[in-house]
Amino acid sequence: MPVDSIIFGLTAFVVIAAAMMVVLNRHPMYSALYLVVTFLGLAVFYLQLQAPFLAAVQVIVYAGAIMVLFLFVIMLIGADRPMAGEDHLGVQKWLGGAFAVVLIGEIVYFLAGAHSATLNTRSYVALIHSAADKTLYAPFGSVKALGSVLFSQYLFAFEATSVVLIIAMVGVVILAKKRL
Amino acid sequence: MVPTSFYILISAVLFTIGALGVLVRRNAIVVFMCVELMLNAANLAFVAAARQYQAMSGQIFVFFVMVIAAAEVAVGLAIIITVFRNRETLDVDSANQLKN
Repeated sequence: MPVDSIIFGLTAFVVIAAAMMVVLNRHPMYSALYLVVTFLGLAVFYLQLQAPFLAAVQVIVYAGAIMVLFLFVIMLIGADRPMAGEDHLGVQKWLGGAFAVVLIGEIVYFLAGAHSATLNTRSYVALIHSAADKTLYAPFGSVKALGSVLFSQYLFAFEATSVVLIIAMVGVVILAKKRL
Repeated sequence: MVPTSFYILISAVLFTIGALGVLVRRNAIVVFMCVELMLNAANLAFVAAARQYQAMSGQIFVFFVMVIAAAEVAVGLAIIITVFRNRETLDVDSANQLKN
């Protein structure tokens, strides 16, 4: 059994189990910590999928910055214990479970159909390559390849995200401040 | 090399768990964390598809999703703090009117 299959299996188990614990755990603090485990497992997946830069960004931005923000808010408003009355969900809990079963069934059903239809179609691959990565000579997944596509083909989108971030920052300051 | 369909399957399971969490939890912060879970499931599908087709665009999209997710978390947590300040609870059912 090849090593990458073993790593994939272990990581998949950890990711799914931690994600379940995010939902099932009654303490928001523990949910947040399990979410960090999920993010780290996804970073391992990204390494396996030839995306080392995204793995690093996943650890730094998601497991680092975003989760620190979550934990900070949980501690700030003193929500680090189970919320009163969360157990009285009744029928909603069963409806949610039924919905989840239906959803995963639907996704798997349509993916199984799509797999035979498009995933191995050579012309589709050729279409994508002719559109985007024709001029690219750096190896796939390297930071050089990512940067050359990001700063040529997606330059406008990249600049637009800076505007989004500025708007978000101003909005947060206005929302969170008691008196301006 | 692990087949792409395995990663897509993991992504589907993660997305479903996130959707389940949004439906059955009432703590606003946990609901928000489950939304993050769904975003990450989509990211995993993007990266897996990028390797399948050897196209960098998939990884670029993940990059943008992360940027938007960071902005979204900042704004969302600010909204949660504001709601908590007005109502003294994190129960999503308590925030059922726009007027205070």
